[in-house]
Amino acid sequence: MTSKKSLFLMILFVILVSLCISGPLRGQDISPAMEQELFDAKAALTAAQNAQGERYSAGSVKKAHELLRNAESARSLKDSTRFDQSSRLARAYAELARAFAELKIEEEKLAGTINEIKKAKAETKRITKGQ
Amino acid sequence: MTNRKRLVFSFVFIGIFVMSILFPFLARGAEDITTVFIEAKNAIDQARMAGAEKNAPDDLAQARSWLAQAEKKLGDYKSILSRTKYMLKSDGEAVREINYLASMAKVKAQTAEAKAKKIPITEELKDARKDLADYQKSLAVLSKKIAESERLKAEQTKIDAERKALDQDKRKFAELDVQKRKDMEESTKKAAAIENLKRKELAQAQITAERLELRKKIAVMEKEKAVQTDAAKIPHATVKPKDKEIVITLLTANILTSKNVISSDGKDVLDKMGAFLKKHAAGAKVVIRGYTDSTGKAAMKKAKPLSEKIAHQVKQYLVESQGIPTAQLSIEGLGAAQPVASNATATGRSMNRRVEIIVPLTQ
Repeated sequence: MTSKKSLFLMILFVILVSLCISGPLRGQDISPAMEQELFDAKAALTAAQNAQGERYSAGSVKKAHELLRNAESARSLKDSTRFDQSSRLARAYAELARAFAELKIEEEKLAGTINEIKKAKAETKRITKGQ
Repeated sequence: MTNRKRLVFSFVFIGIFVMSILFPFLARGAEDITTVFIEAKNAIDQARMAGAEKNAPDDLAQARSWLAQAEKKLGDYKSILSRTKYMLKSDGEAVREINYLASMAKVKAQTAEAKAKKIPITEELKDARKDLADYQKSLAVLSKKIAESERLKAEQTKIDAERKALDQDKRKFAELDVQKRKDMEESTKKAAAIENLKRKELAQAQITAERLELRKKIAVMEKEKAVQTDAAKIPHATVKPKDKEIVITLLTANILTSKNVISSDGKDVLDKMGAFLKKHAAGAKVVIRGYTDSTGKAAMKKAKPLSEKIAHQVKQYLVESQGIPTAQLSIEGLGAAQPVASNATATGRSMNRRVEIIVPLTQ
């Protein structure tokens, strides 16, 4: 009985060890969907640059560049997980940079318009006073 | 299997089992995955506060989804089985995956926040632009009105200037008119003065002329008087002044003989007459008229030739003896015409037989 129990525990241990080792050791290939994700990330970065992301959100753009480089590096190492994560995160950072740049541009436009309104008000006041 | 072997095997098994449990805890990396979780949660909260639920719901939902995944991974990572798995696999990789998921949540939340913030700003910008357009429009209207006002003001200024200039011109014209009237009055006065002067001058001239005339008349009169005086000095001569001439009458009896030739007394008389003519009738046409009386028909027939002969005798003597130019003297025989006395008496007839020498006074 004792030997049977010991044998059961042995088998269980081996199964557990196999399960733990089998996953990490099993390498995953970089799929076309992952490549598409990298492509989308690059496109998002270009869009962010076009939206003056480097001016208004330099940190995010820099981070996106780094992540794209990481993705390229992961591809050469055939590390699909890192490749996929870096691509997705790069895209997210690029989109953040674009959104932030667009927000800042809108804010600047608003500030400029408010300034114009102030000038127009002042001009109106000056003219009215002058009259 | 011996007890000893069984004991060793059991120790090894238990040791490995215990290690499989404890190792993940012991091998947890220094990486602090809770920090990125807090950042992600904070980012989601900020996005929510910025109105992402309304303005960027998709991005916020994604952020929450990523955070949920990260939390799930973290839960898994904390489970014994997973710990064992990660122990064998790679602890760093597990942490990196959790970090990745949390970072995705954070970045998506930040993106949601930026997008959420952008929408009200865009709306505000739209309103501000509308306001600006309104202000600019009203400013343009105001500027237009001001420009119009300026133009009107300039026109008014121009009109005022023109009116002023016109007033000045009017004043100048009035002054000129006054000056002109004054000048005209002065001219009239001057003209009147000149007229007066002219009148005076004319009057003076008239007076002078009248004086001259008077002097002439006086001279003529004096001359006539002198002529008459001198004529009166001629012996037996009767002097009768007529209009612009004097008629010197000589009775035939005083100058002719009975045969009708110049007597010696007659020569004396005619000499005096010649001297008189030289003095007072030089160059003047002198008419010598002979007259007879009217005694009988036969005598009447001869009267005219006789009277002419008598006149011729007198002329001839004056020409020959006194040197009077013959062209200056003309004769007329008028016979018994124009008697000065009655032919009925001898005295009368004697007075009718006469010679009249008509001497013009004016030369």
